[in-house]
Amino acid sequence: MSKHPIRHPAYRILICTALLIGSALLPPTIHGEETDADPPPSLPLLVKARRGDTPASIARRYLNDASKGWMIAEYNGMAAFSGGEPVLVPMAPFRPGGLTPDGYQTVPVLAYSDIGESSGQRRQVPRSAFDRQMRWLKTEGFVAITPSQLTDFMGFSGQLPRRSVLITFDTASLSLFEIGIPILKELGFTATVFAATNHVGDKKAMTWDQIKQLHRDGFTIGCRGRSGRSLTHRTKGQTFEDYFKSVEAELRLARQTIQTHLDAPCLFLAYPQGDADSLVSAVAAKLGFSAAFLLRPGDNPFFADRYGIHRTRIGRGMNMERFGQSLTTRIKADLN
Amino acid sequence: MRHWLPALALMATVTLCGCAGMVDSVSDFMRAGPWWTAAQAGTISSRARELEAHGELSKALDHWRMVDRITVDHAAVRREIARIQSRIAEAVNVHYQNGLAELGKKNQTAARNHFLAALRLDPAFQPALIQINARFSTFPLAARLSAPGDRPSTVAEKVFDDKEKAFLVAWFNDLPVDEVMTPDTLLILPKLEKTPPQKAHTKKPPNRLAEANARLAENDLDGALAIVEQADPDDPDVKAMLHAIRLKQATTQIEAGRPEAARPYLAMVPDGFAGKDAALEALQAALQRQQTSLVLEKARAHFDQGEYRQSLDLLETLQKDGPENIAARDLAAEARYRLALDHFDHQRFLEARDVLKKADESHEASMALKETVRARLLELAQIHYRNGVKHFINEDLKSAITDWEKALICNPDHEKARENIDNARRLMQKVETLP
Repeated sequence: MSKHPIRHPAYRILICTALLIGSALLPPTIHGEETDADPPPSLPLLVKARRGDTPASIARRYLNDASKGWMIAEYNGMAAFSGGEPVLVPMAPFRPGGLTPDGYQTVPVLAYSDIGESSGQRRQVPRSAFDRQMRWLKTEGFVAITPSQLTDFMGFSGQLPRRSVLITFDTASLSLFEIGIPILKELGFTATVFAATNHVGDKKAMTWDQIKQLHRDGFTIGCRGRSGRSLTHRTKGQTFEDYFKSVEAELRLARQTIQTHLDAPCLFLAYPQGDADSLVSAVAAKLGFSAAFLLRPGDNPFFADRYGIHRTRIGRGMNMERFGQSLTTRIKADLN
Repeated sequence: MRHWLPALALMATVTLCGCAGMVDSVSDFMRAGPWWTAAQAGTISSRARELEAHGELSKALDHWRMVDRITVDHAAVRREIARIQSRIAEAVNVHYQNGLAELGKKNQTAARNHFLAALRLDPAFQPALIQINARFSTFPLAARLSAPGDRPSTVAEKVFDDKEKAFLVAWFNDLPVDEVMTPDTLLILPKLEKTPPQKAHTKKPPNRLAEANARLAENDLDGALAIVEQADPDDPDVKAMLHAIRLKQATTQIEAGRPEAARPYLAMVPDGFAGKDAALEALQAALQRQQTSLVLEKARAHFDQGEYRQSLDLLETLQKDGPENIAARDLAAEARYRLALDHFDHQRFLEARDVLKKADESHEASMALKETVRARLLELAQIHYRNGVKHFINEDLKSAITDWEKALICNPDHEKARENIDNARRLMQKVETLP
């Protein structure tokens, strides 16, 4: 006599397997997770560190970006893992605006006019000084960021490494391309070059091919107008309307030229001569620039004016002590 | 084959139910699986408490939420979650209200810091973000709704006091210059300065003081100083402007948390100059805050190295001087707990009890430990009591008294031990007085 199928061992194993698979796959609400409260926003991922893991390797594995290792290190309060310990991987910014109990973050923006050999022009920072400054930044743990990262930070949507710095150049010169850029590349730093479009291709200036090369290499190309002349002064006898039209044309055409050559949006402006008034800032905003940079020292917390970002000019005579002082990254305030 | 149909149907149903929440639940299952041990949950809880002690409440909350996923003791963890959520909500509200109050008193920096503090605790708290954006973050464009019958020229007249600027209204809004707009059209307009841009090559000598004043108003202190330094140094107005710039430089340094850097600027401003006294007061307050902050940092460093006694000593001094210092209070609560736990782990129960005497009642882990220590000491008291009785039976009165005294130290409410000590002492006296 054959057994009833429900008593057949294979049948029982089948049912148990099905129940096990089902319980594993059931949605969270069924196996006792919270149902009445709002879901917590972007909870971190809980993972187990492997032997030899570093913050960068964990960031590469779970965030697809090794450069976000600082987030793993900062969130877990540790820079090395022995293996087996629980590690929390933040899936969203956990410190927007750089706010901490003892203050808030400010991003130093360095403005170099140009880089050259030691016997170069007055506005050029010598190769040796530039090299020393960049190596100092590296040693001190600074991370060079892009202007897009800065605007995300200022929009209170992104967060930056605690020691972030934005490096900018106001001249797209050949000597920058040949001397400054290789130093930056060697150290893994990115930077932003603001080009005055009328001067691209001039003698001792970069060509469009070289600018495109920089863009492909991950450097940001910004705009400094067509001629690089100041936009805050009317010329003699010029009406207000003519003055406005000249400002608008200077910025619009320069932006268009860069976009055409790079086939990518040009989102950042360095005000020619580092100076702006409210009309020039408003024109820049209306034309679609995401942010614009002055040439005035000052702090850049997340709530600073995106169309008046401060930059500290780094001149050829600046010693390392003053250079270090220009890199404030934290403003103390009691935010407890 | 028909015998297998119910089984196949069951399998299909279970698989379909599972598939409905498959992606989330698989990862949930993987996370909450049995390979997370209690020790690992303990590590994350410990980190959560550490973060809370450092004032990082949001991160602490996330850590507890993770513990909730892998622990078996959900009730205790969810109590912690609810407690921290409530702490955050309360602190955010207090900061926001304080920010509004400071705005009313025109204390811009204090107001800003309260709004920032609220945002730090809850980045999604929109009222604080709105205040920060509206009051402390400038933008070159403003919005305005058009009125019935408005044209670019009428808007220009209303906004810029100059209908000739109609072209600006038209350009910024992609409108024709001379057409009537639909009422309630949202207009984007530049925020122009009151004075038109200065014409180049004017014959009038430049008014350096006005220029410097404008730079000062824009917070461009270097620019203002450069202009003033070119003016007549003996002119009283120039001197006053120079002092105003120095004062501003000092207050900027104070607000940026660099009070030492403010001193030389303040020293250049003569006594009695308007605003100097207030700046000196702000400097003193900033120095005091800096000192507090240094001590707190030192306490944190001790705490991070597991030197809880040293950390607690510093924090208790801070709390004496400023009981409202929340960061010191939280860190002290955690340091006290860790120190007591260390004593407990090394079976120094009396020391653990002493440390926990000042424990904060809102610190749940401390309260739980306090209860455990109390229970352990009651057990110990009982052991000493019984030992005392054994000595007594063996007529070793001195040892009996010693043990009962130990029982009393462990449990001061042990009345039997107290009575027995008295009785034993009386007996000893009688024995000694026997001829």
